[in-house]
Amino acid sequence: MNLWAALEQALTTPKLVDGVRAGAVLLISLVLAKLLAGMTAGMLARASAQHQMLGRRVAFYSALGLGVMGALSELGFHLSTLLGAAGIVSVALGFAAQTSASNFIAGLFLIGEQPFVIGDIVRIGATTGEVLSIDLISIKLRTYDNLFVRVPNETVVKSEVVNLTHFPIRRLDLVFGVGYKADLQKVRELLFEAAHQHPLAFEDPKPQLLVQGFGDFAINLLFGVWTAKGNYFELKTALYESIKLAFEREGIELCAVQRSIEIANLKPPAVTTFRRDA
Amino acid sequence: MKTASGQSITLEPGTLEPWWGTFELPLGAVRYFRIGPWALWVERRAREIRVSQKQHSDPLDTSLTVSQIVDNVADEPGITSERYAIEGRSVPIQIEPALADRPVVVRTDEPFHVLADDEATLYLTTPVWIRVSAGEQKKHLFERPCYRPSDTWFGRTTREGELCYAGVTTARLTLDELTLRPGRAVTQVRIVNQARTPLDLDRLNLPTPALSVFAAADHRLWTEPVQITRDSAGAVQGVTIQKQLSQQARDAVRLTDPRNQDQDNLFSRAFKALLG
Repeated sequence: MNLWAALEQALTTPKLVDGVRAGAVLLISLVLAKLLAGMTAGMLARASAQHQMLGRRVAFYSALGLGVMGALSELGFHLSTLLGAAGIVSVALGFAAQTSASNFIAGLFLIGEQPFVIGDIVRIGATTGEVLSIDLISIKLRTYDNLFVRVPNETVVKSEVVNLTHFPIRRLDLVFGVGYKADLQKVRELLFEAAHQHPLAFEDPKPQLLVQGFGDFAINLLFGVWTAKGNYFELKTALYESIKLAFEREGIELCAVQRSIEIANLKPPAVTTFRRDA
Repeated sequence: MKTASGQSITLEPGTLEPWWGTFELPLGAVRYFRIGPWALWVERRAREIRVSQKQHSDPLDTSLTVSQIVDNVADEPGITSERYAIEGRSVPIQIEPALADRPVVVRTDEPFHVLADDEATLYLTTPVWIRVSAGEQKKHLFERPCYRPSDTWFGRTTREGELCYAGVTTARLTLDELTLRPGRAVTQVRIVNQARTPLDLDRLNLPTPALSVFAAADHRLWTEPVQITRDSAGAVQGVTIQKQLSQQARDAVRLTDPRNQDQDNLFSRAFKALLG
């Protein structure tokens, strides 16, 4: 048998033909999956970023899954047999990948419950950051100091999650203390004037001043000022600065831990001189 | 005062002159404007315009200086500058007024009541925004308020509502009681109370993005009048923006169009009185 005949025989082998057809099906399905994902994203243009991402992924993996099944069918695998095997494999995988499975289920809950969406600022445990993506296994955050944080979905579901940007406005709580000799009426006037002078502090809802109690060293106060959620940090810094300046100008003492030490019956220390005899 | 030719004048307090219009800006020239609490220097340099600004602290400042030629930008604290690249030998600059880009919630400084089956006409003023553009094609440079009002929230809860600007009004019932201020526009508000109980006016949400700016013969800035009606059942109807200007501004000319042309939507939401 010459080389040409051997090549012809090899190329016309039924298994190779099936393989080529399966590859073609897989390739076409991959292209179609990408097209379908793009079309889905286009249809969901008005939906939230999270829904767009989810829709795109569902469309892509569904189309790709069908393509894989078609390719396997071309290779001569029977789908019923495959599905049966898949059941056994899934049980095995379930034991092997319990953590991933629990994260996956937690991810479904998160997507359904929607306690936050992409772009929100959330606090999960000790981490505060902007939500970059909500995936089936984990969510990704970007912290204020530009760190990338991956939080498993199971952790998110089990933890207390604070969404700092869910509502359009929020209250900025300034907590501080003033000395016991301070004129509280004057303090109130200065605080409200400081808020009134800053354009980012809301006129309505009105600021609130709460006397939280008499502390060991100061009268503890909480001054709450409403602002738009995006202006929170700018206003916080500006108000602390202006309040400090106003208090200094009016001679009102801000809280500082002070300790008065009185020493009773102080006697001069006894001094003993030792002389070393020569 | 002269606009196009570039002569300038500084006005006495209590009088108004048009600070809007087109002003020639030859190479090397520095023009100074003072519109209420806001000061502006525009400097023409080779292939660029340098703009310097200063915000003064008194929102009710009545100062007015129009297109005064000065040697240099003042050397004062609080001045910020920006540069804009622009071609052309002679570049005119355009200055025009606009209204706030969000609704303005105006509170009355004292409780104000409209008696049962009665009506009242108030005159409110709100700060104007100033648009500056340059060149024959009026290329936009920037826009900013004469005085930036405080933010406020207009809504029944802290979850739902609208971010607005805050204003305080003395609720003047005659125009003569209003002080002439160059950086503010007057809105005539007619309140009709058809109910059998007094209407306690606490605050008004003035839909400034849906209002135009007009200049009257005395150079006072005006908007279209608005009307709010409380029907006999006590329900406050939505705002209606009147197309016909008030009697005092009958000869006024339109300077700028509303920012938001979709007024139908505003009718349903933008003007409410909270009843005590």
